[in-house]
Amino acid sequence: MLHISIAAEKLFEIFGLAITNTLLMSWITALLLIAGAVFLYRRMAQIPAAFQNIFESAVEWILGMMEGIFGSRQTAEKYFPIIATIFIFILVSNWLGILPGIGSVGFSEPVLNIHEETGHGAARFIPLFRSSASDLNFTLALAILAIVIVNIMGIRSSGLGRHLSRFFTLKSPVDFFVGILEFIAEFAKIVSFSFRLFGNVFAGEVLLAITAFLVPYFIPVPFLMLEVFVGFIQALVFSMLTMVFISLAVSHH
Amino acid sequence: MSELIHNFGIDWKLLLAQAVNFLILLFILKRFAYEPILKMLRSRKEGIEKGYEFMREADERLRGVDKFREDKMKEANQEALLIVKRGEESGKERQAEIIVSANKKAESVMLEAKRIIGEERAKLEESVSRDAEVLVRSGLEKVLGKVPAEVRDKELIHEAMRELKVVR
Repeated sequence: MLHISIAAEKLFEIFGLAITNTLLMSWITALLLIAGAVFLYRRMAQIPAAFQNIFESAVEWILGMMEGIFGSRQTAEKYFPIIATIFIFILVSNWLGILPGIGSVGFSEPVLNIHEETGHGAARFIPLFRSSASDLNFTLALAILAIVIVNIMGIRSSGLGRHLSRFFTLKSPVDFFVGILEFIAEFAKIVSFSFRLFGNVFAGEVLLAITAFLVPYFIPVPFLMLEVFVGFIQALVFSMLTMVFISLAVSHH
Repeated sequence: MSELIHNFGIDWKLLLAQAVNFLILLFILKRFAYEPILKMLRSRKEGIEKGYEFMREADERLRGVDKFREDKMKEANQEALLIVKRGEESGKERQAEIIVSANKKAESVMLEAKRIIGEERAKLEESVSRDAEVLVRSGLEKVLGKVPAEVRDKELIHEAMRELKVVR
């Protein structure tokens, strides 16, 4: 029977750190991106070749969006690395996650607890790879980092005191409560960031698993296409929201 | 709450590992991809702008050269026309001059001829009249046998000669 686990499966342990299949996947994603970056760096030319062209168009596209939000190319370039990394990392890990066969490579692990009815120990299949964002650890880590970076940018741009006065102020009772709400909203942002991405990708995984389980041929194809789209949209949403939060944090009222 | 955390498999070590992973990726991508690419884009943009500017300038200059050449051609054309015209005019003038001078020369030649002819005729007439005088005198001498008073004769003859001239 189809086994679906919300938590990522543990593969092995190193120095007390449980290596899960999602962590492995995000390492692979990062390694691929780093390899791509180094490849790009080595072959960088004034007249771009195919690979550089693709990357440059992506950069121009993201920068164009950022210019629309930040207002100037200079500011856009300043915050570009964070936004671009979030976007590319999520996008590539999402797309790697729906790569056919990714969830099929794995091993069986005997389950220790005995099945209640049959009394036999059943083997559990553990996939070696699993889409990174289908693990809340990944999305939560990204969300926390994003919000921390947003606040660091805010402090950098307007100073610690002024930035904190967004949350804690005694100017007026209304401002005081609005500040408190803003403070809570920062945590709400983390939760919404992480659960939005996690929910979408995990749901996609489950959807694909179920359609492939029920009808192995042809039927999963449209769902795969849908997941390609969802993977892109979620990466876009995550980076766009981070962009907006940064622009709000660095704006002076 | 702890059950929720357990169900979602949240583990602070995993969280940290993912966060560190992301930060490393961010750093490396920034170092090897974004900064060089942004620099490249900027320098290329500058290069293109410079090239465009250069092209525009060259275009402008070329247009200037074209115009200059055209102007020169027009000027040369006009000059050539002027030269031809002037040549024609001076030719005509020269022709007229030549004709005039030829006419003058012809006239002078004719005048000279007339003068010479006149002189010759005068000389001739004189010699004729002298001859005639002598002839008449000797005729008269022969007829009369005597030489009349010379002075009167001369006068008479001269008068006759004058009359003769007038009549003629």
